[in-house]
Amino acid sequence: MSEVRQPQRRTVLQRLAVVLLGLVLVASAGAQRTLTVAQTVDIPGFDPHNHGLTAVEAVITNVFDYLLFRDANGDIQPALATGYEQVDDLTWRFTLREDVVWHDGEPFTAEDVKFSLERVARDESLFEHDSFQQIAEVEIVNDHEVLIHTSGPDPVLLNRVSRKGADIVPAHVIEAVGWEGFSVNPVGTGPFRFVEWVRDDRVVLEAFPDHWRGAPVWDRLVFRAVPEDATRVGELLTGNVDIAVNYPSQDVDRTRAAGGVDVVSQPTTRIMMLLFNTADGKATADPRVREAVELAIDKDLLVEVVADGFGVPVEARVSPGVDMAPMKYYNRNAYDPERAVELLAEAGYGPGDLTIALQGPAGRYPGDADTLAVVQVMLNEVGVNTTLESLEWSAYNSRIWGADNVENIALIGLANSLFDGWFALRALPCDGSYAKRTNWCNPEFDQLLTDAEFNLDLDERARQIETAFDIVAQERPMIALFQIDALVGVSNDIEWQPRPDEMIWAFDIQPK
Amino acid sequence: MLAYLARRALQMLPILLGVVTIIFVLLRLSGDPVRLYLPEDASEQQVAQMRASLGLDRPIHVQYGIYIARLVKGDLGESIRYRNQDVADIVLERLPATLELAGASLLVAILISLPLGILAALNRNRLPDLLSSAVAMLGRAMPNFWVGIMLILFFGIRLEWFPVSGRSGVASLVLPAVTLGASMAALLMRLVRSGMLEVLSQDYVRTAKAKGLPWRTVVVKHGLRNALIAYVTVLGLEIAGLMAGAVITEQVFAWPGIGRLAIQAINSLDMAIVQAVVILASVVVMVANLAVDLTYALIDPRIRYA
Amino acid sequence: MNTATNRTARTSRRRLPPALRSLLRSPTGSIGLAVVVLFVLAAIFAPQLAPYDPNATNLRARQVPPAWIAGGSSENLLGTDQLGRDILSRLIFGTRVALVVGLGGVALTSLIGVTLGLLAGYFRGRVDAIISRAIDTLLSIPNVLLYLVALGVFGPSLVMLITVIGLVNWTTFARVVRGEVIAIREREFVDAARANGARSPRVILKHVLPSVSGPIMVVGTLNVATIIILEASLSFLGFGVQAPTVTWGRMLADGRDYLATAWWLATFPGVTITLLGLGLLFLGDWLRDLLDPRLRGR
Repeated sequence: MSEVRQPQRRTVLQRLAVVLLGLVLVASAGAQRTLTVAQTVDIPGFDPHNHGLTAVEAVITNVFDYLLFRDANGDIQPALATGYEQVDDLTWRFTLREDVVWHDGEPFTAEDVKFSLERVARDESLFEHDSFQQIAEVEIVNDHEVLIHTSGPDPVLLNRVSRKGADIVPAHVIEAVGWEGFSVNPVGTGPFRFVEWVRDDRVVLEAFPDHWRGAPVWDRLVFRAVPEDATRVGELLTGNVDIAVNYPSQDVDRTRAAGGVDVVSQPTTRIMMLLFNTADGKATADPRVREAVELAIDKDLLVEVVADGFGVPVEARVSPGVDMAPMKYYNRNAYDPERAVELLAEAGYGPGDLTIALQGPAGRYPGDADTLAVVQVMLNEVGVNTTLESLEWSAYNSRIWGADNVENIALIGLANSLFDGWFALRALPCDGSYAKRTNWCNPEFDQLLTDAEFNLDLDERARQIETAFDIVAQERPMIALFQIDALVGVSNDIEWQPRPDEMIWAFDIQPK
Repeated sequence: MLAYLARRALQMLPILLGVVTIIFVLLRLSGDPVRLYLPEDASEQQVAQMRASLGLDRPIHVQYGIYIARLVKGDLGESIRYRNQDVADIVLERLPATLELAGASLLVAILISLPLGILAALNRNRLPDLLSSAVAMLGRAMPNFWVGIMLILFFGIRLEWFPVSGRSGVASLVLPAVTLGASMAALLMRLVRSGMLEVLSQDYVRTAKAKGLPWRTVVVKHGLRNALIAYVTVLGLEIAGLMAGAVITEQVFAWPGIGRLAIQAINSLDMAIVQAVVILASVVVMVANLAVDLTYALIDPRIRYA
Repeated sequence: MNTATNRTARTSRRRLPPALRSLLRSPTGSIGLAVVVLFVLAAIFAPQLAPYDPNATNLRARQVPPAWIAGGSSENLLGTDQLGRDILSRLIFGTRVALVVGLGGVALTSLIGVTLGLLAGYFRGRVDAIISRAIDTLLSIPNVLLYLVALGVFGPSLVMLITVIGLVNWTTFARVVRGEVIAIREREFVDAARANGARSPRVILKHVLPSVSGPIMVVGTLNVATIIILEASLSFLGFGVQAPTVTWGRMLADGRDYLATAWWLATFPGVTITLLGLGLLFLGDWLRDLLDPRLRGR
């Protein structure tokens, strides 16, 4: 009896298996194409004017559009604005794209541009306000044309309207539900539409087929918050995510060896820098001492140790893609320990005579504590005694950096979200926010920056900015160590090169 | 009964006020959160503007008054990181994750401590007892976040049996629950053991043994009751410790609960969130203590504060 | 000597020879003491014992595995970290912070706790109510959060860390002492009523402190272990004593990033903490057993 039954059961099971397999195959053929990205942080909300973080913008840039768009080469392309023209020193005309609809079907008009840009330009409580206060007013000419009036001549207005914080939001939705409602349930014009946000876990977006660029190739876009390095690496290796950002440099080799995935490096605008306190009486008061410090540091070795080679030594706050940044300072290592010792002697310090305090954050930037430790070793090698303080970021900020309490040398990492060389120097003038930390004041430098700030003659502006950079390089209120490369783990199933502004713009990403 | 509850509830209020005040003052004294949210080269003007718009430029006692006045109305203030969102929502959304972790850890702790404790008591001073004693000791000596890291190393990275971080189903709950539960188990084992020993030394057990009756069942039944008392005692006493342990465990495993939220908020001086989490935690502790006291009234109150 | 004299010696309040005898009889107690003494010696003689300067980086010998593993060498018995620093030397020097914070923390904790416990237990009434309320308040906050917030205010230096620990951790001591004092007080009260003489507070204190010192020693020893683990946790979270001072917790935090490539960074500091913790626990348990007859006789 049982012997007769068993073969029958087995056949039934076999048939079931075949059917199920078939169903699965059919289902997967019509399955959604989902792109999954693993980031280190979750978004705090969908208010594009009020988060200040590049990583967050990388997510929400898929939901919204800017007036103009920076492509992967850094060139300005039309987006919500199809044309622009500088009318006079203080006025720019933007022609808006027609037939653009919001995710809820309403048409996009000039009203929305006015609402968005004037909000971020006028509301002082917004994190992005500082970069947009130069916009005085947005005047509506008609439904598809606006005039942007700036408070002073603004040579970088085009950079401004194509960076984070310049996302255009729907006036009609926010007037209905307020920013409280909008932050958790956004409506944009971007290629992807909001589906859900599970806090500390994931943001799920779906394709918006009526986007003015056309339907995106991905049906779903998921951003997952995975703060632990090891897990992000694991998720990429197991194929659970297609892209993993902030890839730890020590895992690159074994990832590449694993196959099916690759790790790509991309220069960012973030540069690790040392700020000097140049006040009289301080160990770093003498410019020869500061030059000696720079010459004592082997920046190539530093990059090798701290970032496994994923970085570029620099001598000023410059990086690829930043307008008007004198690239002669890029990829330069002036390591010369003998000259450093000579300079110290000239300044009156023999080996062991000078003590310099090093202060920096720990855990704020990749490899920050290690950077300071390596600098310490290199300074010791040229006969300088050192003390070291590596503090957790909020302690460092409140006690040292934010309290203008730098003893001799302070480590900091600075990015350039405006992609403008002038922006890189804006904190150094005599009344700038670094003045009380560096105690450095050079009126010639100040004059150059003031002239360049509103200079619409771009060639002259470039020269002024370069001269300003030269002054900083000579007098060294700050020195630059290296530019940080972003490491991104990418599945071999997609075609994508990370962008220098670290935006993860899914429209650009293609499946292979 | 109702009068007792009302009296206890009233007693909680000054403590809660004390907790709120301590944390409020400490947070305000720890520094300026504004700079943590602005880029490193933000201008003085920008910092001042932001500080004013967050209401942080007013003197401390004024800020305190405003905070308390709003708190009484149920308004927990505004988060700096999560602008325009309800603080209560933000915290409560993450509470289930922590409760899940705490619950699973308790389960693990009971599953480990109950059999081991009983075994130890039944084999007093023989090998199983000494072994379980040693295990309990080890559990108390090992820092619980290190246990978590070692579990990640072996079961997550080497063997790849479990996910090493995040909350994504039961599999991801295992390692964090074992981490948190193991340290509690160490503590509970001894209590179960002493509770069982006490039962074993009772006259009725000896009588049952002498008469050849199934004394083991009797022992286990009474032992379990003692164990229950022990668990309830410890729960009440250790609930604050459990939450502290959860905070660290959530950090190690990136578990999205209120502990991790609190650490993020402390790191970024997001005061409203820190205050909300602390208030929630304190309320939970006080309610747990009340529950424990009430449970004693039901069970035989033979307590020894270990 | 006859046994009667020995028994008297054992039950008297002087503890020296019987303590030694009890120690020799208890294997765990001796081990515990030996371990603790070993660590204390390591802390004191760290510069002599450690093969290298704990902060000496060696950029050409980064992430070297321990000596018994392929790739390791006898030059660095326990391997090196991501900057080439010798793990063994760092562990030895880390003992200093652990013991200073542990012992300093317990000292301050017991000072505050015993004082407040005495006051609460002796005076009862309002004083007791206030202190008990303070204890309840402190115990309502998950202590990690309280430490983190407090350290944010006071700064993460060694002195501040000990101070904050003292200010938060005293509750256990206070409760134990309070309980003892209340019990003693009642007994004394009964005796006083019998003997017909009033006892001044100072005399009661003279009786209370010795009777309390036993439990304090037990709780204190165990508390050292708790505080050492607490310090490691705080360092792990980034709020402990800052670099360049070497702490075991910091080593664990650093090692966390290298679990897949250099597992020894995160393993050995934890083993060390566990060893010291075990030693203290054994010692504390032995102390408790030693003082047990008196504890039971409450």
